Amino acid sequence: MQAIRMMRGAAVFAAACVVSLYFSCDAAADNGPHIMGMGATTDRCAMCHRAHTAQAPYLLKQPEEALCYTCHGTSGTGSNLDVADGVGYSGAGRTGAKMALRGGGFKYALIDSAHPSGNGYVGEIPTLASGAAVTSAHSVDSSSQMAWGNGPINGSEASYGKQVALRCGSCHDPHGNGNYRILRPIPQESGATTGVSIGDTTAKVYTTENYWEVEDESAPEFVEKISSWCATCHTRYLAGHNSATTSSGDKVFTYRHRTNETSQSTPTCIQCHVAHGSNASMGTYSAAIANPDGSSAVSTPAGPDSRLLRIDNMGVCQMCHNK
Amino acid sequence: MPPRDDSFPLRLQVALDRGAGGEAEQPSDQEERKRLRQKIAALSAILVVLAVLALLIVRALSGHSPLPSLSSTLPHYVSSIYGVSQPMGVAVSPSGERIYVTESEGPRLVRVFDRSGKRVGSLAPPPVNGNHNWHLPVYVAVDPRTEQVYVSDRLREDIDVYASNGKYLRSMRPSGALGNGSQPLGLTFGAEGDLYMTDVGGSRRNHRVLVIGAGGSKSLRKVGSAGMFWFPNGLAVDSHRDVYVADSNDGRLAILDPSGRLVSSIARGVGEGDLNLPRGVAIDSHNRLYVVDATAQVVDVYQLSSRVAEVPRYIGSFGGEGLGNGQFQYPNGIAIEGGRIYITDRENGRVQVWEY
Repeated sequence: MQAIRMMRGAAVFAAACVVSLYFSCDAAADNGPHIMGMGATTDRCAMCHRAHTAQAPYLLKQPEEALCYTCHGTSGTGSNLDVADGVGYSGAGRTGAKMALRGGGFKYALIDSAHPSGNGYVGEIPTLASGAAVTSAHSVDSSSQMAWGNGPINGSEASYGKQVALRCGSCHDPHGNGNYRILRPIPQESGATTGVSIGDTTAKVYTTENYWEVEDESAPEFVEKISSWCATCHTRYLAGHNSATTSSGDKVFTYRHRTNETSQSTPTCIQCHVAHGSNASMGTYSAAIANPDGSSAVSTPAGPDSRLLRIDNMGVCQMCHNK
Repeated sequence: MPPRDDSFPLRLQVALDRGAGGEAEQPSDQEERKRLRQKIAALSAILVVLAVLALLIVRALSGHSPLPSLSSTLPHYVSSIYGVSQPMGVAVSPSGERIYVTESEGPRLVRVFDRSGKRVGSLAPPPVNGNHNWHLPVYVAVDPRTEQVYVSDRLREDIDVYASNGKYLRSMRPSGALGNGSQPLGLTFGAEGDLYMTDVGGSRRNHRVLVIGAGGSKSLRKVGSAGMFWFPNGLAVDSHRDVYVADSNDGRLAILDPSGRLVSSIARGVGEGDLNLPRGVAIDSHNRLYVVDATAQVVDVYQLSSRVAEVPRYIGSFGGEGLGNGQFQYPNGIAIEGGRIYITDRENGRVQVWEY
């Protein structure tokens, strides 16, 4: 009788283990194969790495962009997130709805940047039914790009930033790190010494139907810390209250729009800019704005550099100031 | 006269009869005939041995090894078809005269080539809201009965159907509750005209294989159980209606019997014949199974057993990472016609042709 009870107990324990393991896998905040703590005997290393025959830095089997795009690009049949097209396929239920990625896209984006409405906190930037070619994007192919404002406040000489060769892995940690969207606390090449960790959540929101709504309610730390995180590269763009009327002491970035805010109702970097790429159009005056070093912005085949802004021209100004 | 021994050659028997001269047989004659039979038998044996020896000597001198069994061979590289931007899927018409290739970059068309590799046209669905560029063809299959071309489109979340002359016919989605929210990906036709598709709509637990009966989408059914797949891509169906699915993100090739029961698999790993990121799948007329491994940069070849529950026997792999002829940069789709094998070579922007 005792033996039967023991067996029954063992069976219940085993079932509980299976159930808890199952749900613990689903509940992991990191997603897909990008989960930290894979264990000593994982076979996932071989998905991307070779120890002695790697063909790209970091012992990657192939160059990073193509490897990432194999799941996340236009040829990406291994993920719901197509970061090239700026499309997030429904992953929450069988609705079939595809939606716009909150970060835009590296080749196309679904931002209806010509039709914003409302102002202040209550505003709307609709999404497009089909993608438009981007007019600005962060680089992901290791090509050189300027991280404007990188470096400390410099009052003695004009310094503008730093050339960086961005890859997907510059900002995201493919191994998973327990941070929101596997963002690296210190983006590679940023030169920062202090990192910003944004707490993760199991219910991340990757898509949007309103590009003016940038908050992820399931992850309150996101809006709270995202400006500080952007500033690990764009150091001198981080500015608090009164920065528009008080000199920073920097030769170039002297008076600045405030960005160092922590809620949806106050300005953060991402209230005006997307992270990956924007299809916004720039008009004559907006397109003529020079870079901080005085050089002309480089136009894309789709139009003048939109500087990752969410709305055509300087529409993001009007959304709040309504002049 | 003794009874004729039918085991003797007729001519010899006649000679022996004549030699006997019709006279009564003597015991010494019988012994002589017996000796003669023995001599002939010994001579025949020697001749056979000499013939075999001669054959072996000729083979050795001419350098030919004994013919290998068909299943132990791998195809060789023949040529490439260029002019496609990051190709993903490929299909070939039953006659072999039309090769259809989906592009995931550039204008994202389905390019059509003839057997010689000459481009003869392209396919594209109607625009969405006036946008002619918003489509993303992924996998393609040709209905062997009608030669109509079926193309899965990720962005449009449907299957676009074209006539064999390239005319757009319609777009279709699996209908009803079972088809709700589906996102077609891999496509193939079964022997009975059923269209098999992998579906990656919804969350991982909803990834599955759907079968649209030859009668249309009303005869929709599901193969496999919830949570069985994680971004299934290409698939193939054998003559017994067993289904071979590239369970891509799980890094395995899942083998299901017609009832949808998982009966066998080829797993992820780094050993010979193990998989990494399987995408395209095909079976040839010799029951060889081909699995395109996108990140291992090879095509793995297996011999199918007569028993579906048995793990296919690994024969070998061809390809390898690189830019040269016969090397791949992210191969993805595969199609077979006769002894010809077409493989999309994504980052190299071409379709490779291999043959036996």
